[in-house]
Amino acid sequence: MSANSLKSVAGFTLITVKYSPDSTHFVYVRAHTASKKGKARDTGLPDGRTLFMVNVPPDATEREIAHFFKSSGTVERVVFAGDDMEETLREELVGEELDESEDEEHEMEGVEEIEADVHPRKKRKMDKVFKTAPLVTPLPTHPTRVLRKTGRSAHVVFLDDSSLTRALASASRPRIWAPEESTPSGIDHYLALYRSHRPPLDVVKAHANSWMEHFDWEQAKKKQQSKYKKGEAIVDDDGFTLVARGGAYGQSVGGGVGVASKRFQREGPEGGKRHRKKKESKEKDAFYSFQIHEKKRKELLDLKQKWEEDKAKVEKLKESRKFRPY
Amino acid sequence: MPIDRKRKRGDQPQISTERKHAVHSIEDEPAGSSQDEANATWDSDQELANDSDTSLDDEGDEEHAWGGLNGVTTKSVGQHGTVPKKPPTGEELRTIKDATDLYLSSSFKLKIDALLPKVRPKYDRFSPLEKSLHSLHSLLTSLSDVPPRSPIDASGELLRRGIAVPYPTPEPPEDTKWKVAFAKPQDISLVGGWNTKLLVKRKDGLPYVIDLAVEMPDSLFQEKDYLNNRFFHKKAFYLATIAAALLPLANSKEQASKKKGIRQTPKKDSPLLNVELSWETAGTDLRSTALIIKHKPDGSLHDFSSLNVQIRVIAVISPSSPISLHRLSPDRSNIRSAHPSTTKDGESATPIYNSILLQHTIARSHLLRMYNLQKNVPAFGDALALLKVWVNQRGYGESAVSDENVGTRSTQWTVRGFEGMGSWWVVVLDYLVNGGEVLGAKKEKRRPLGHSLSSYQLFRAALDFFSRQDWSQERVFLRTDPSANARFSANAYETNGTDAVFADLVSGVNFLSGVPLGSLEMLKYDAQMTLETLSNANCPAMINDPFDEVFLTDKRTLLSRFDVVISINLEDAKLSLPLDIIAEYGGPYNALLSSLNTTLRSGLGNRAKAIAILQPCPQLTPLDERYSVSENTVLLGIILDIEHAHRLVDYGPPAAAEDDNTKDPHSEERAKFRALWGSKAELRRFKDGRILESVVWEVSTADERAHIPYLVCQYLLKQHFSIGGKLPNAVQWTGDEWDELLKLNGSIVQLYQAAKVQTGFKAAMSAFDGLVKTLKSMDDELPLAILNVSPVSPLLRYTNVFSPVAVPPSSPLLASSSSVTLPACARYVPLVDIVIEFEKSGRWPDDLKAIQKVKMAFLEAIAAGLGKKVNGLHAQIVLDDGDAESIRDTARLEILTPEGWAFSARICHDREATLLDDIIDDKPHIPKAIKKRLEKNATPQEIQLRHEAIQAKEVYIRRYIHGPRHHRAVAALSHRFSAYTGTVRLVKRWLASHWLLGGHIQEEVVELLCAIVFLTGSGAAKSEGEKEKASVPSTKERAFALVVQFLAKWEWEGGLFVPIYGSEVDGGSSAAPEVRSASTSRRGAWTIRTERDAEGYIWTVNGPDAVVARRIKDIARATWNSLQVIDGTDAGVKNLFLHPTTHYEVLVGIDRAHAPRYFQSVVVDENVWQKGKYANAISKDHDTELPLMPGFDPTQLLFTDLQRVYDETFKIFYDPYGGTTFGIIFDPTLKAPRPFRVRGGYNSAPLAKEDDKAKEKDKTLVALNVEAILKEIQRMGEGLITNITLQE
Repeated sequence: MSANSLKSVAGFTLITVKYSPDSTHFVYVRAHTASKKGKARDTGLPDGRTLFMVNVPPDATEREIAHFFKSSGTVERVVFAGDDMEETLREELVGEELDESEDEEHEMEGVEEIEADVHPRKKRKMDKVFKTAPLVTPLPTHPTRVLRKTGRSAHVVFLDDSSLTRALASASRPRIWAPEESTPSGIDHYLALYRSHRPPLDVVKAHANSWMEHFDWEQAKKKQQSKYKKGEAIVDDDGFTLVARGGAYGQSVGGGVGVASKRFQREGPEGGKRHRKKKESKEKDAFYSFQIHEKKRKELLDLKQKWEEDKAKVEKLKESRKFRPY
Repeated sequence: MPIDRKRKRGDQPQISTERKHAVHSIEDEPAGSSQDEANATWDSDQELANDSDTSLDDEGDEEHAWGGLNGVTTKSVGQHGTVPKKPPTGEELRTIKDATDLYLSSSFKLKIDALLPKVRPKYDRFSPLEKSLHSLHSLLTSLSDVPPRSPIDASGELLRRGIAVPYPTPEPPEDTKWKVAFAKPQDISLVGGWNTKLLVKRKDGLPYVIDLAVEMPDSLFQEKDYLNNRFFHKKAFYLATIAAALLPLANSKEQASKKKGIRQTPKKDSPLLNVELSWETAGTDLRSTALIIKHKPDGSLHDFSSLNVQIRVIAVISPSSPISLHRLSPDRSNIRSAHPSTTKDGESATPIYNSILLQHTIARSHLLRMYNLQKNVPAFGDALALLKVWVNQRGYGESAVSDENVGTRSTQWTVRGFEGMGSWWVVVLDYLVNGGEVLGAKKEKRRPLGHSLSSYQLFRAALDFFSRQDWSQERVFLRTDPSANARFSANAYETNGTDAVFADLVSGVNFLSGVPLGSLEMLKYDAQMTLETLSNANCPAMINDPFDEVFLTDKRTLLSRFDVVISINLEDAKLSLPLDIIAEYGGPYNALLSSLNTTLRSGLGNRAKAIAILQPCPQLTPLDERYSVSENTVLLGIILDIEHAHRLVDYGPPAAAEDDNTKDPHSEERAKFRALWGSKAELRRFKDGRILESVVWEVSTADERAHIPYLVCQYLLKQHFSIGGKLPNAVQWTGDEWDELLKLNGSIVQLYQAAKVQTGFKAAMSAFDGLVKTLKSMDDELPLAILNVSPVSPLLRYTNVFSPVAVPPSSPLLASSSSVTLPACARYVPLVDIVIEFEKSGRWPDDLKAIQKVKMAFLEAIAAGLGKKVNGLHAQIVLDDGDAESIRDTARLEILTPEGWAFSARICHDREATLLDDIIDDKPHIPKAIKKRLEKNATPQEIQLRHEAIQAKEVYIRRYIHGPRHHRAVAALSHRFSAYTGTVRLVKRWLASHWLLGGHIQEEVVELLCAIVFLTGSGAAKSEGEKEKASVPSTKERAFALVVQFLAKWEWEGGLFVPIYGSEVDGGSSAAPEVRSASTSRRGAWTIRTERDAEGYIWTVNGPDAVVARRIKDIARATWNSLQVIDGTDAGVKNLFLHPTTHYEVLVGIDRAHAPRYFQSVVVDENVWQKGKYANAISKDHDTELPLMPGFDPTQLLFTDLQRVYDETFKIFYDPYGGTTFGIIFDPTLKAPRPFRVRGGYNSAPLAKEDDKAKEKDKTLVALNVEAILKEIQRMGEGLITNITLQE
């Protein structure tokens, strides 16, 4: 291919990937630079040792990419664009949560001491619950390929800076794309997918139950943290009482003052149909004779207009020779 | 030419504006003259266009032919869109009011006005014709007499001159006493529509006909000439002599020009006519023969060949002729058989013969009548034109055998009995305007209509008359001359319901004698359909413009017109009728068809609303040939009455009472019944104690039951006419071929039968009911009681293409060593979706993720419970995305019953919708403007979450609200219309076989589409007891044709409204949550709306995009064209379901042995699973060891993945029912090189720069890397894909 002579495209280094002896794929790479705007997005992509890669093969796995850059250095991880960053975020959040929960437990002890007098019985009950955060039994996961949209990009994070430079430098030589054997593709991929979507019943049960336990625990924790108690009006610093919608039985979290319904909240007392009705019946439209005249005149004008429109329409159809039945 | 014209016209204003100020006075004149010039060109263009058209209808004369109403000029058209400043004048107002009051609507009136000039000849161009007529007149009046001689001798001489005398059968015997002779006509007059300017264009470009009535002199006839065809023989000779007189002119001209080798221009006032002569035999009956004169093109002043006109010479007699007409009463016999064996008693009346003879007396009075009508009723001419257009579009009347329409052989079939009946339509209007009498069970007067009705009202009155008339019971009479006495008494027309009567009492002519009742019933049905169309014109569910529907569309396509089309080969038909009866019908062919019609009508009884015999229209016969029927095939078009059509038993009269000596009242009926059914009639005792003569039709399946009308016809044709005795394919119907498309391959079906598995929709539904019962009985084991289980699957509403099959997990079908092992390519088991709803409870968590987990727990509980309750039941939880931490609804339960039915159950929890709404829009009280500002500050997580919630909400609404609701509505439709499900299945199969279903069109959309042909024009659901509309098709084939026709014509920009929910809407909760359509941009091009989905969002938002929609239209058009040629004979219905693959850029072949649905393919190669040839495929590892995998279809999965991955790169197509090829078409815009972009969204390869240094700054261009993409596809489909071909 003549394109082989090219080394860079619009600031990207060109890497030639040999899919097979007769078909070549092109990947565009450059060093990753963190953009100022999307700070939140780019967390975890260190400058200096991250490679930005465009036109990733749609069926590429992390290991395949790691293998591909093996000659340059060790790849720490690969972040695919478009793959919800949620994934990464979640990982991070999970980590944070764990830390937090430990902290909270310390904090909570303090809180409990203060509130101990107010709700002594409840506290004891909760004590038991909070001592152990229930663990979630995970669902089994099988490594299956994720087929991403074609022409997307990815960030490759190397272990060290030198790997990045090597990766950028060694671009000239075409390299072979080696599909990973351990992750199935093709029909085997679909078979694996079919199986992985069907976890054993007991695992599902364990997972659901433990997850719910964890969820309850979290809910309870949140409730505990909240300074609002049922049946007490929430009064802020300025002395305003918070008005909130009630629960199933009309009682709001804060208690005391409640708002009737969700619809009421949406539309307000003025919203809805009643309001419109009132406005309509204010003026009589056939009271003065001029009104009657005007109305009739308008009707006639409308009639004529419709007639003209119809005529124009038919005229148009006629131009398209539509009126020849056969 | 047209381009030229445009330029000239366009230039005009420019010239004048540019030069206005400078050379105003000088330039004015030339500008004006060039205007004229331009106009002149314009006109000549028009002339040319017309001439090349070789027709009389005008294009160019529109300007003056179409003057709007009362000369309202076309100028006002330009004002369209702007409100007129002045109120309309009184006159205008009257026009407008008239248009809206006297017509269906004002636009309907305008369209009628636009239509009429197109179907009439331009009389001002007729001068050559008039010249010809003049010379013809002088020629005829100058003819010399021919002395009387024996008919046989006379014909022999004429034959030598190249003229076959069209003596009707039986031909005059050698030894007749009477003689034929010729004397110059007593009178020559133009009758018919020419003088009265009532000519209407005929179908298929057939020429206008100008009737020239030549009155034979009284001296040629004797009193007894009414007997034994004698009149007709004399008339035939008379016409032949006229032909002989014209013939030398025709021949000599030809020879002369041949000799000289150049075209000879005759002298301007030459009386010689350069004509071509032929015989016309209306109604395949030689008694109504006429002579047709056409002019050959020679450029002379007489040359009317370019006018598309022919002159028809008919011979008539004057009322003063010596023939005793009073002997022609319809109850008299005037064909005396020559055989002495038949006694006087055996002679039956000859009403047809008598009526045809009488018709030769009325030509002039008819003309007078027409003239009066036209004078008294202003709208008469227009109404007649409308009626004739309507009639022509429906094949009543003449048609041409044309080859140009579709390419292949295509006979235009006409409804039998209406050729040469042009005058009847006039008489019908006459009857309506002037009133008459109806004799039926009681005598009724028909009141005359007002003379000032509009054309549309008269037209509609005629339809109304057709739609109400019961021809078999009621006889209609009119008096063309109120002062004259009736020739025969009305009672003489009694026919015992075998023939229709529409007679003029004055002349005694029965206009409908010889017209089969079945054809009139067809006319009645067509009129009913049209009236329905017109009365529902403003209904939102109307799919076509009513005007187009009534006047502009050719309705002759057999498949979309008749429920059943049967082709009958008459070659070996036997008819045992006495000669005189054959003579009465006018030949054996007519006699055969007539008795065929009678037999089938009584045999089918109320199974059919109408049985029309269709035949190719008889063509003109050359002068030297005697007319004979050339086409041996006729078609039978049947409109079924769905209530009775598929009755299994035909009940006859009761058995004779044994001990009763009195006269048995039923003996006659019984004899008739026995005579009709022959050996098939049996005496049977029925459950209610009656003992009846009866005929039982044995059928084993529902498919066969639909064949009963065909079986009846087949049996009767063989019984009475021995049709199909020698030729096995003499009676054919395509029903089988259509059924075949919805069936699985025979060898697979045999496997199922051998393993004795449950099959059929009914079985699937009872399996579902059983499952529901089990689920409901598990209340103790579940934390909440089950409130409802709703089915959401085509398999449970009869609309799946294939009838469902249960494959039990333990059956020998799956055992590897069994003799009936299902091959790998036939192991697909579809999942039946159901939705479980629990009773309401406050204990559900108020968190979306938690709800999903609770669902899992519930499903697990159900699975455990079911496992305990039912032995051998497998239940398995499936997590669709594999992603466990999501707010989306992922978990479902796969249940495989021991009988082999696979269900997929989901849990519906209505709180989810509210929670999702809260995420999508958590501050409903904040105005939109402020919200927009707030959204800018949203964190990516929030945006992501909202996005996900919107998706989840869509899934929720489709899956839990619209899915079950749609299912209920479709199930209701399938009960209401018996042909509906078959139609849906056929259309699904058709769309699938053209690689469109599934990937591009959802099945629900097809169900909606098919509903329109059943529901068109219906505003609301049918109320109790109301009759279904006449337009509802009764067979799936017809409905399929209608759907295809609709798709071929549909302009989808306007959307479509399908009222499938009907009355359910009023009763149901009106506050159903709607999807916010603002959330996503629309991708689908179609907008199919229902009562519950006002924006057409649910099923068509992602639906076929513009590219696919156009494709559907193209394919529908092609299919519609091929449908035109499918008549009763096997014309390859399957071909409609074969998809050409040449236009795809890439074809991806799938391993057939591994596609688990290959067995459903339209064309199946059984070798794929037969051991031996592909032995290696069978023994491949995962075939034998794999258990049943319900719903597993790797081909489908691969297709979906490719469609998603390469969404912006190409469009991919395939047949979900066993398709083994993917077709790919690349986005053409990607082919061109583009500058490189990071977010290009497609696999690109850089192009080498052409000129490196010069364009250094330019961005490098990249182009689509097709090779790499194909390699990627290969990799993703490893083990499935056999080959990938790149096509030109």
